[in-house]
Amino acid sequence: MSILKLTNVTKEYAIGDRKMRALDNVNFELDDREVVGLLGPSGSGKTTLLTIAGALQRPTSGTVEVAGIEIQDMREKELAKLRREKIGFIFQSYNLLAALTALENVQYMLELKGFRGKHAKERAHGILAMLGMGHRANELPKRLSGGEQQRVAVARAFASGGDLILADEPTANLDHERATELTMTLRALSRDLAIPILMVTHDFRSSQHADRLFWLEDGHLRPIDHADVMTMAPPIPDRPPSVAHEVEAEPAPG
Amino acid sequence: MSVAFRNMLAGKARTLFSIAGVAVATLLLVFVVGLYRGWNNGLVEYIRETKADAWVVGSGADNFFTPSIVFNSTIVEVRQLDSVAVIDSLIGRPLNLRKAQDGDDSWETYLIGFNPGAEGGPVRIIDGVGDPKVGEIVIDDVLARTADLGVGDAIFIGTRELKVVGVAKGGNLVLAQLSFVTMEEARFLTGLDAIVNFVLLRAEPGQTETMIEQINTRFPGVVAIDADTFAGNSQDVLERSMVPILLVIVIMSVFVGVIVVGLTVYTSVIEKEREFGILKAIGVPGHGLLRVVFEQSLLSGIAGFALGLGLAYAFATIANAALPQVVTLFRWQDILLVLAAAALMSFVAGFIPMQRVLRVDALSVFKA
Repeated sequence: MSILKLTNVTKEYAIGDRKMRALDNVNFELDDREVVGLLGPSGSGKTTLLTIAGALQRPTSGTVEVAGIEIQDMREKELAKLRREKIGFIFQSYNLLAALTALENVQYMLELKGFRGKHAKERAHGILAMLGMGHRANELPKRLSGGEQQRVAVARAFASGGDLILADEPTANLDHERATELTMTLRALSRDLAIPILMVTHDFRSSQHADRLFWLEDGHLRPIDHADVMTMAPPIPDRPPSVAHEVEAEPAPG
Repeated sequence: MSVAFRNMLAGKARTLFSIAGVAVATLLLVFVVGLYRGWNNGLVEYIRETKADAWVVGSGADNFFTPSIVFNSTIVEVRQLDSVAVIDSLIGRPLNLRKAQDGDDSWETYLIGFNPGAEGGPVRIIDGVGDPKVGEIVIDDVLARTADLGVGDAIFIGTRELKVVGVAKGGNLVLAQLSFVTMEEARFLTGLDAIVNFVLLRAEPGQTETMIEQINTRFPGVVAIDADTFAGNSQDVLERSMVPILLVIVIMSVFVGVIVVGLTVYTSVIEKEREFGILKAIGVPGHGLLRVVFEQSLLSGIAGFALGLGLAYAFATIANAALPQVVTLFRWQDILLVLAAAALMSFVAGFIPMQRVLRVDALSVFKA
């Protein structure tokens, strides 16, 4: 079953008198238990696609379905509820709440989902322990390394217990070893918990752990093989700025 | 779990600044209202304690502070009315007293001449006696502390030496304090022979209104006013002069509180803008975001109120010890009002930051 389905999705931004097309008639489906890597040059529209899939912005045209629900015409309040209940986010720069400990960051997500008090705390602790962070649960984010912070962010995303995880360059700030470790962890969690992951990445080696790979450039999405990616390594230089690149520079860097 | 509370703990300096802002505002509000109540209470306490049903004053006067003349002949005629049960008279005149005849320091007092044993004497004696004889005086506790006087001390009014025989509470009229001498002594000191300033009346049972009506229709030179109205009129005099000043202080206090809390919460929101974006992205609804801001503002308000209340009590105690005229009265109703004001300050202070939070772009959290 498709957890995420984009049909003929186009996204345009108005910049002055011009219209910039960030996504051009994109069709995409994400199934249960699979990890899909989304690659492409900077400014190609990857993050735009991710945020449309994540109900954070609406497409100019086309339909977006999350867990079988069409979301493009939902009200803001309904979209917030959808994000809270069905989607977990992993960000490039971790984005933990600085005043909360690792445990509380995860617990807060659970409380948003309706878990209360001791139950939320125990569950948060369990998820952190699963990610090898049990011993660091009471530390504030500033006392954690980048890898540790990203593992807490992963715990928070999975704590939402939703239908879909959207990860935006989750390994970008990690060294190769940590990046590979995190990607493998994501893959294992996806399989174990039956939650699919759409992962935007620049990391060609980490992307090898994805089940399927897509290439997005100038707003056009196409599937690629793992072997294609390996031929690109070391990473191909970014293409000259495209129309989509200009578009993305301000609203949402990709 | 309260994100607002944890944010406040994480930014201790800002939180303390915010709490201090509300505390200062609360201190001013509680103290100013307490001061007003204390003065107001002191003023009416004497009038109410006289237990008169009505006060008779000269035409044109309607309160304790407006000069009033009632001729002795009028008293004789009023005494004839069937509705009048008891009649007493008072001389009331502001005068200066000195500790030494040729001393430089003088203190303003409102001298009351009364007939010992009749109404109009000191309210509560805390030292010595309350029924002075000729050559003796009972002074108010505030005056005693201000001028460092006590029972047994001598004071001078003009060239007349009087011995302090009692110290009483309940005679603080803010600008001056009541002192009590016999009617005979008062006539000597003021030179008033054929007149008094106030007449106190007790009516026969159920005859108060009749008594007042009879006096007001039969005696054109005087006015009879029931005791509650007379007390109220006297309070109005204080309110007319004090309330506008106090109101300005109250408005300034609320303004200071709103600005300080508003600025600290606003800067906190700016600093945490990305975190609000994160909250928005992970699905915290608009009202949830507002709640974080409002909680932060409200927690500052409550903590500031508690601190300010404590400071107000401490400040009032210290101020009264240093300046006896500073008499405060804290009523729980007023404290509740100040609490409501602190809550209002918190709400108003949080309003602009809330608008900013609602405009936070969740997409901003995707920027590295």
